[in-house]
Amino acid sequence: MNSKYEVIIGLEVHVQLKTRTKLFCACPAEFGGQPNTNICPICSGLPGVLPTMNQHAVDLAIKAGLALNCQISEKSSFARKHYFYPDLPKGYQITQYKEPLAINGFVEIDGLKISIRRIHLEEDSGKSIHSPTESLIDFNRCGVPLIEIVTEPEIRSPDQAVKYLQTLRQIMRYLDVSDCEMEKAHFRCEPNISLRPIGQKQFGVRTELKNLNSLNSVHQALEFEINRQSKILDTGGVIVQETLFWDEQNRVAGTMRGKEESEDYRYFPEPDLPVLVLNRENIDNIKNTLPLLPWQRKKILKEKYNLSENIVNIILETKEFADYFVETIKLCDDAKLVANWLVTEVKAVLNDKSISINEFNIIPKELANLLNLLRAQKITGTVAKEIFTDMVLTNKTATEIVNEKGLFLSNDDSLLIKSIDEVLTENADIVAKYKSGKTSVISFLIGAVLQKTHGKLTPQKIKDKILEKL
Amino acid sequence: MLTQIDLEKVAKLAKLGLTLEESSRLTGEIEKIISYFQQIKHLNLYDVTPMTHAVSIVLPLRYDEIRPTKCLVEYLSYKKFNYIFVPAVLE
Amino acid sequence: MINPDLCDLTISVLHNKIKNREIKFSDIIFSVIKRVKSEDQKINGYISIFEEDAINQAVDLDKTIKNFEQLKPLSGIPIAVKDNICVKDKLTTCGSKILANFISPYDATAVAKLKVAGAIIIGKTNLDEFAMGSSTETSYFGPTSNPIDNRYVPGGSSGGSAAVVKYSGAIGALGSDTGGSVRHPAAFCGVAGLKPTYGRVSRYGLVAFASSLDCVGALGKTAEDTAIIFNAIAGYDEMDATTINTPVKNISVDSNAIKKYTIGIPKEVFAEGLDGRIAKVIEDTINNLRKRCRNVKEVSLPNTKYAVATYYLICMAEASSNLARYDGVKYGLRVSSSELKDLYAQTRDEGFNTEVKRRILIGTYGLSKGYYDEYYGTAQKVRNLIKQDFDQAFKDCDVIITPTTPVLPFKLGEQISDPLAMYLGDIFTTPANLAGITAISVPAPLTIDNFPVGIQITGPALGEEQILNTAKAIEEINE
Repeated sequence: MNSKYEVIIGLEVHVQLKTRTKLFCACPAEFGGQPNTNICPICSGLPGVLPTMNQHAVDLAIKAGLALNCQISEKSSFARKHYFYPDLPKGYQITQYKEPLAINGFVEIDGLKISIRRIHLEEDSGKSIHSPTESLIDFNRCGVPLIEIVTEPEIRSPDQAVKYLQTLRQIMRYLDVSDCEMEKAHFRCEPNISLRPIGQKQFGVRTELKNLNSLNSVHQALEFEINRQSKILDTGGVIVQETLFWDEQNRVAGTMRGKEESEDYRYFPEPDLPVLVLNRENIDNIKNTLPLLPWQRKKILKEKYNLSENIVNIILETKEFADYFVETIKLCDDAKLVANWLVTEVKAVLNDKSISINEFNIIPKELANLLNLLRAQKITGTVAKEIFTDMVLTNKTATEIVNEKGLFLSNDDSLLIKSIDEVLTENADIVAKYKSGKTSVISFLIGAVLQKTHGKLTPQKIKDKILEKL
Repeated sequence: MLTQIDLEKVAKLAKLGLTLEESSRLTGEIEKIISYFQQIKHLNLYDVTPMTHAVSIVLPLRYDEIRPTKCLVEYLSYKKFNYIFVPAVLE
Repeated sequence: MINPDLCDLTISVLHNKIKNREIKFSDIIFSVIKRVKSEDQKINGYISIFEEDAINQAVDLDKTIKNFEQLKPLSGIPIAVKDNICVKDKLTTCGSKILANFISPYDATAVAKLKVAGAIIIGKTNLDEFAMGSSTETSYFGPTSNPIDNRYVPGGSSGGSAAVVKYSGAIGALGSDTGGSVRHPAAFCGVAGLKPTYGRVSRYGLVAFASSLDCVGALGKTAEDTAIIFNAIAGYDEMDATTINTPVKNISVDSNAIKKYTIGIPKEVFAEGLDGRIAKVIEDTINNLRKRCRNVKEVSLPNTKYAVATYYLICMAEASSNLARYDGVKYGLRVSSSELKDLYAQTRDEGFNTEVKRRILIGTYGLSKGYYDEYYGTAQKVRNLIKQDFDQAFKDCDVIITPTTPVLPFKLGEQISDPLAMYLGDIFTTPANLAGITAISVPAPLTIDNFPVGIQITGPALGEEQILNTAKAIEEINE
């Protein structure tokens, strides 16, 4: 990165709202499947149709606005944005222009506040498949509800941009506002970026980036564009204000072809939709049902359970995972133990199987049971892990497995003494070392005994007995 | 003053193909109409709120419930395997 | 035997004849269809006619009707529908080449409500393309003639609906009124035409021209007939977010009610531009009305002189938006081309007539970067002033009487090349659309040289009952 310039990034993110029906008609909001099947006269722009507003979409947008610390407008209005494109059946998109639903919010990332300028509701367009000779259009996605979340140009690096997007996505998922799957285009990001010499107040000319289908491509495309712009500026060139299309395969951003005239969207107030009025009471009701958000839960987890930042971050990654943690500690009163197990053993299984915590076959109660056995020293850590693996494979409970396999810790001292005697005899050289003052070798002896007793005894107990013997 | 160049720009925006003859004839006609409209430009409209809707009502909200409509695709005229087809859109 | 002149009767008379079993439902249909067959070739009021469907429905009704006491208000009454209002599985062309082959998959709410009220939809009527015009000469399906004298235009844009009601090719009709399109042809053809309050009748299924002004209206032989149709189609509709959600009172028209009214006459009306013959007829009518209503007073609507400019700026901007969907991609006309931009341009060039293109161009211009505030934005403000004029005036009166049009019917082709002159003919009708209020045109006595004149009664929002009662009183004076 060229350090002569300050990077200025603003992000526009489209989030698909998790509603049953489309924004302006009662068609299923699900798309994919057979083309042009989830369509009606309204979303396919037939003559004479009118839009009607989906209440749930409004509620979800309010939820998002509240969670992003926005001011919710008691009055907001809709507008038509005009452009011709085959997948836009009406020739205009219904969106919000002058009076958006929410304004002036912020998101905190690593102690830094990124200001949210506005959040507005709008409808999605259809999908096109392009070939060199023709384009095929599917209207199933037409009218699916979106919110557009626009930041102020306050982001200063690609890393920060990605961090902001991760945080935003996490919040939207916590709220159950959206599934935010980028590959399904539930969560689309269009950054604008400009450079200015350090110390200069005035913004430089900005470009916009499109077609970014993963956080990775956001990062790469921003890096690319910073490089490109700084090279131009270095040689005294001028940045052209334009929209660049990210080519995922070749990792370059190019000018979009086919855009001949400059855009003029001719916004005007949507005459078919009266003003959306939200009273305080409604907004407060939604506020009261907001779930705890990641940063709120983080505070609780850190303060109440004294967990490390790293572990907390992993636990809070998704709301479901965090909920699983909370459920488990209700039944197993050792937050650190539970946390460690979740971020190592459980996480490993989820990653291995590529499943979410919701699809995980061990319910919190059973995990708590297993961990309680461990805490009561009825089994060792090694055995607990074996049992855990069995639970994942067989769907049996920990108690069932322990009973079947006789894995409870033995209280039979004779077995212990016999094993210790054997180990001490077999490892006379080690014993000699110990006696000569090299006490650390005791762990080798403990390990050997553990192996002989198949983990039925705790290391502490073994250690005590060995020390007695020696 | 509306020039023929202005009009051709507007026609492009509105995706209206006009012949030269048409655009030259329309420029004159439209110029005449627009100059008639100028009469409202001189009114004192300071403090007047724009009226965007004929009645002041509040947007009613629809319950988020799917209402299946019968297959509509047959009413769309230009199809290939259920897709609507158009000449290639360059991107 | 079929009475050949049943079609010349009003809805309520026919209703009573059915109720008293003097006639059958099919008698009405046969009479209407016979009239259409003898007249419509000259008039060209219909774009499509559903002869077989209509006869089947009437014959069916004759077979199935049991309880004649509980007839629905429009049972078996043949109603025509302007061809910019959707009727399920029928062509809805808007009089345009671009939709000449478009079949609607759904019923407009007004049409669905007519069907529920028992009406038989008999056909789709001609109009100025996309309802943009005041003469019904710009339809892709040819001009409609005035049944009073075929050399004259029927007015517009609902000229087809007004004409078929006039020659009894339908008992009543639906029209649409964006700037006078129901009242104007009603005045030219000598029938009654009601434009309801904006939001009182659902626009769902009315092909949008200017969404903040469009209204579905009713045409009939009498004010009472328009009231019966209005009663059937009015009301809140969950498919139209701009409909007013207050209960609808069934209106039964009573001319005696006007005794208690105060009638307002705007002093700005009898000004330059008003044909003297019309002024005379209106003044005479008002004088006659004084016999039944003592409170006639002058009111002022100072900003209505800006109504035409304001109206056209708004309707053209909205039209440019509403007509963007006719692009050759989904339905209707497509002029094929190897490039998408040519497909758009050629389809829209071939599909729209000159007047529609003119309005799209001016409307696009008025919304474009740098011009919005000057044109559309300014017009919206003046619109507010015009509405405030009415709010003020209706503090002092119940209804306002004006002529419907400043000019008398003109000959076909006479004004087609002067769009501005045509627009100026809407000076009296556009204010009600801008203000979102209700108005009706009913026939006044003929001029001295036998031209039809429409008299317009305007009421406040939801004041349909007042204007219908006044309209009936005027009809009675003329009898």
